[in-house]
Amino acid sequence: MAATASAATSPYRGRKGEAFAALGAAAALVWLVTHVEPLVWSGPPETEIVLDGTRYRLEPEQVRELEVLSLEHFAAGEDAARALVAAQIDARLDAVFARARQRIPAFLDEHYSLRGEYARALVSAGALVGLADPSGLAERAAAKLLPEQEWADELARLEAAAAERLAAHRERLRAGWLAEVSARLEHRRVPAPLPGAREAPPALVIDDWLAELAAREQSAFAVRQTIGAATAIGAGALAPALARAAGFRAGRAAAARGAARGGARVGAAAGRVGPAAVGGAAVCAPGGPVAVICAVLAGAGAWLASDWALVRLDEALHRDDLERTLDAALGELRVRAEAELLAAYDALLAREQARVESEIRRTFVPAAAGRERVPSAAEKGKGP
Amino acid sequence: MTSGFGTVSRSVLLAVAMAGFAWLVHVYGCVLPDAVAAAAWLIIAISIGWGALRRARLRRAAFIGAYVRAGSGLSRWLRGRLLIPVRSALAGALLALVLVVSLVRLESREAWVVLAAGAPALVLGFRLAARALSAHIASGYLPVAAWRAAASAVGALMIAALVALAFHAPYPDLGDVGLERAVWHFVDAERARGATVQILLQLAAAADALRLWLAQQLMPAPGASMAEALGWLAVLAEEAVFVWSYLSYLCPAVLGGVTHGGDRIGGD
Repeated sequence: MAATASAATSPYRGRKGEAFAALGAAAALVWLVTHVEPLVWSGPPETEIVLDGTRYRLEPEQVRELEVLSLEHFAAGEDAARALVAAQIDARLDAVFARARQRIPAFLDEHYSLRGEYARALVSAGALVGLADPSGLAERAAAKLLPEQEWADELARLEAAAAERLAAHRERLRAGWLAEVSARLEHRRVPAPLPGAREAPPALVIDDWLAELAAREQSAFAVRQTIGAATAIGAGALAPALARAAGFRAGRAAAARGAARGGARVGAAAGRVGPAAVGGAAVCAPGGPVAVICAVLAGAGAWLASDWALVRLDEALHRDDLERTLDAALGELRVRAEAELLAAYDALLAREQARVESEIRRTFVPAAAGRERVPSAAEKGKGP
Repeated sequence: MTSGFGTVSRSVLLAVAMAGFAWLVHVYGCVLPDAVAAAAWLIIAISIGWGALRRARLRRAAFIGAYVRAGSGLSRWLRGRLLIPVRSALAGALLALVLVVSLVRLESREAWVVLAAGAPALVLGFRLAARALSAHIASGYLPVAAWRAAASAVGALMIAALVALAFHAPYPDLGDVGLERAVWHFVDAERARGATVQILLQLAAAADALRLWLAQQLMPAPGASMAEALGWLAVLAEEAVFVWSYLSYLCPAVLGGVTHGGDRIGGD
C-alpha cells in the first residue's frame, strides 16, 4: 500500500522538482541579464591623433614609428639646413672677398707711392713721441681692403638671407613631414565625434604641434645672434695679417724701428744729396745770397728723387711678394670668417634641432602610451 | 494527445537554457575568436534548422494525409526528403546569422528581460494553444497550428515590447552630419576579437546608421507623416525578423516532445 502510494507520488514530486528547477532557471536568467554586462573587446590601446583636422587612430607601435620618422626627418632636415647655410655663407664671402682682392692693386699703388711712404714714416715718427697709434697704420690699410661698414652690411645681408632660406627650408621640411605622415596615416582615419557626443580629446593634435613648432622656429631664427660672433672678424682681423705682410708693426718699439728706418733713409738721402747740394751751390754760386735757397731746393729735389727711386726699387723688389701675401692673408681671413660663421650657425641649428627633438619626444612619448578608447554607450543602439 | 505538467517544466527548462545560451553569446560575442563564434552560430543554426525541418515535415505530412491517397506514389514524391532539409538548413543558417549579430549588438537590459521572459512564455503559450486547438485541429497538424498561434501571440508581444523600448531609447544626433560620417561613425564603434564577427557587427551597424540617419533626416519632426510611418515600419520589420529568428531558435524546446507523426506532444 505504501509502495503504491510512493509510486503514485514520485512522478508528482519529480514534476514538481522540474517545475521548481524551471522557475529557478528563469529567475536566474532574468537576474543574469539584468546584472551582468557583456564583455567589450577593445583591442590594443590606441591613440587618437588629429592631423589637418582629420582624426587618425594609431596603435602604440605605429606611434613609435611616427616618432622615429619625425626624429629622422627633422635630423635630415638639420643636415640640409647646414648645407644650405654653408652655401649661403660661401656665396656671400666669395663676393665680399672678391671685392677685397680687387682693391689690392690700388692698395699696392698707394703703398708704393711717396705719399704712402711719407704717411707711414709720419705715423711711425709720431708713434715715437706718442702722437700717433702705430697699430692704426695697419688698421687703416686693412680698412682700405675690407671696409668695416661693407663687412658689417654683408654679414647683415647674409644673416637676413640665411634666416629667409632657413625659414623656407623649415617650411618645406614641415610640409614634407606632413605629407609623409599623412600618407602613412591614410589608412588609419577614423570619423570625427558626432555632435554632442562625449569623447575624450585626442592624445595629440599635430596641427597645434606644428603651429607651435613653426612659431618657435620663427622666433629662434629671428634673433640676431649669429652675426654677433662674426662681426668681430673683418678688417680688424685683417690688420695683423697686413702688418705682418707689409712690415707694419704695432707698438712703440715697432714705431721706433720704423722711424729709425726713416731716419736711415734720410741719412742716406742726405749722403747722396751732399754732392748734389755742393753742385747746386756751385751752380747757384753766381747768384750770391740766392745760392742758399737754390741749394735747399736742389737738395729737396734730390731727396725726393732719391726717395722716389727707393720706393720704385722697393716696389720692383717686393710688390709681387706683398700682393701674394695680401692675397694669402685675405684667404686666411676668409677661411677663418667662414669657420666662425659656420660654427655660429651650427650652434644655432644644433640648439634648434635639440629643441625639435625634445618637442617630438615630449609629444610622442605620452601619445605612445595611448589610452584605451571606450565608445560611449549612447553611440550604439537600434531603432530609428 | 496529452501534455503533462512535468514535460512542460522540462520544455520550459530547455527553453530557458537555450535563452541562457543566447545570453552567453551576447556576453562573450565580442571577445570570442572567429572559430568559437562560428561554433555558436552553428549551434543556433542547427537549432533553427531542426525546428524548421520539424515544422515543415509536420505540415507536409498533414498535407499528404489530407490530399493524397494512402496508396499513391505521390506521397513518396511529395515527402520532400531533400528539399525540406535543404530549405530548413538555409533558413537556419540565415536566421542564425541574423540572430547571432542581433544578440551581440543588443545592449538594452530591458530587451534582454523581454527575451528571457519570451522563452517560457513561448512554451506555455504553445501548450495552451495546443490544448485549446486540440478539439478543432487534426492531430497531425495540431503542433504546427499550436506553434503558429503561440509564436504569433508571443512574438507580437515581444515585438511590441521591443519597439516600445526602441521608441524610448536614446540615439546619437545625426541631424547635422552626412550619411557617410554617420555610417562611418557607427561602423567604427564596433569592435570584436574575431575579424569575421567584427565585419558582421559593422555591417549591422552600418544598416542601423543608415536607418537612423534616414529617420532623422526625413522625419525631423514627429508627426503622422508617411515617412515616419515607413521609418517605424522598418523598425518593426527589423524587430520582427529578430524576434522570429529568436522564436525559431527556441522551437526545438517547444516541439522537442512532438513525435514525427504529430500524434503526441510531450512524449508522455
